[in-house]
Amino acid sequence: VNSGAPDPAFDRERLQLASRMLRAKRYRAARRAFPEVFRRLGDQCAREFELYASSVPLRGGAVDDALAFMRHARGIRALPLSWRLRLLAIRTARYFRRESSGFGDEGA
Amino acid sequence: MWILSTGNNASLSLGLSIGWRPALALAIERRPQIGFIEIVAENLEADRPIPAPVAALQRRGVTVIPHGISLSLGGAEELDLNRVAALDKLARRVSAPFVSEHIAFVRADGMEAGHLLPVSRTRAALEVLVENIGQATKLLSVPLALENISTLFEWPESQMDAAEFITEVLERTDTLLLLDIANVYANARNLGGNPVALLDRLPLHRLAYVHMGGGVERDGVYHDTHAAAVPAGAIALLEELCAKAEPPGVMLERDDSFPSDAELQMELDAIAAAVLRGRERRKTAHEPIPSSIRSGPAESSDSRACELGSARSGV
Repeated sequence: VNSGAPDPAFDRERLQLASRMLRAKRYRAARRAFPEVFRRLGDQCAREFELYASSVPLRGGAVDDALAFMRHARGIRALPLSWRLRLLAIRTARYFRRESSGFGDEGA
Repeated sequence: MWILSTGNNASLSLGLSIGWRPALALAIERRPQIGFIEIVAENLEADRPIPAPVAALQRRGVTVIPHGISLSLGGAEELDLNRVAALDKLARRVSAPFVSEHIAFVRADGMEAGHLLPVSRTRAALEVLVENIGQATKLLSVPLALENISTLFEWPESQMDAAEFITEVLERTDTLLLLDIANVYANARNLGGNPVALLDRLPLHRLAYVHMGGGVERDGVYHDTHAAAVPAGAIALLEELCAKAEPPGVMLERDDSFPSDAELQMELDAIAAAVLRGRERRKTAHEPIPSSIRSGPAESSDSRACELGSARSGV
């Protein structure tokens, strides 16, 4: 659904509609994960997310998706330093939580 | 608040409910009687306590049903057994009588769809689905109920229709049916077909409970958003179901644009009224027909079917 040419036997119009719907759902989920950040990023954020979601497949949950998007979002540098540091802390914590399973048996 | 009668299957009688969401926690808690709640399994972290409002409902004796959305039972990839184990762990934590999931896939080749996608209705896809469900049920300590999904598109070259496919899956895996009436309605509107005829061909003796949800129409396409009131056509379809079988439980799903308590009550009242109307029709149908009216005109079930079958053109 994300990219590539679909089988011509599909209803192409419906497939495109479903694809748009999935991207819109991704955007809503990401925005729900960081409502204040998305509000601060402004209206152009939805259009930017549409471009991002068209080229980057979803690989984790909404939080990871939102964090990945924010790396590319143009307005991110305009956020207060304290916000950007908090986002960095969240990203780092999630990274180590994922990686920590490699150090012991309990994460299997 | 309506509580549905126990019917023949007293052990499974769940009543009327609303899907538990944090935004609805207070509205649900305020209800003096609630038969059961459903919690989205993936929204709860395994190493964290059950949310306090859910635990409070449990103490009141409310049945809690974990509802999975990420097992991807219809996926061609190997089933993620850790996800199944997490669902089972949650079921045991809340003493659930069963858990539920979807006849769908949500990921492929490492990519997540973030949404439930339809499974191709071919023999090959059915075999994969049956195998995945078999693996899941082996790990689960409680029965599994499977839900029909709504979709905007279908796979080409289907070898079975939806009723045949669902029936064979449930029969071969000995699973229960979580019948989403709103999804049946949505698919009839978007893809065509007669929703009443579909109900006739589903294994309703396996019915665990029913989902009802609202949606909106945009540019001629109906979207099952769970963010609007349940449409009249879906309510009518619920009545049709209840004229055929007694659902052990009926649950309203609302995921966004959360309504006031009063609006929620109106929705539940409309659902309960449909259940009662359907039940009444079922009882009447089972009563012997007096000879005086045997030859008179009767409402044909086909006429009602056509009425609902034309849902695609709008209700």
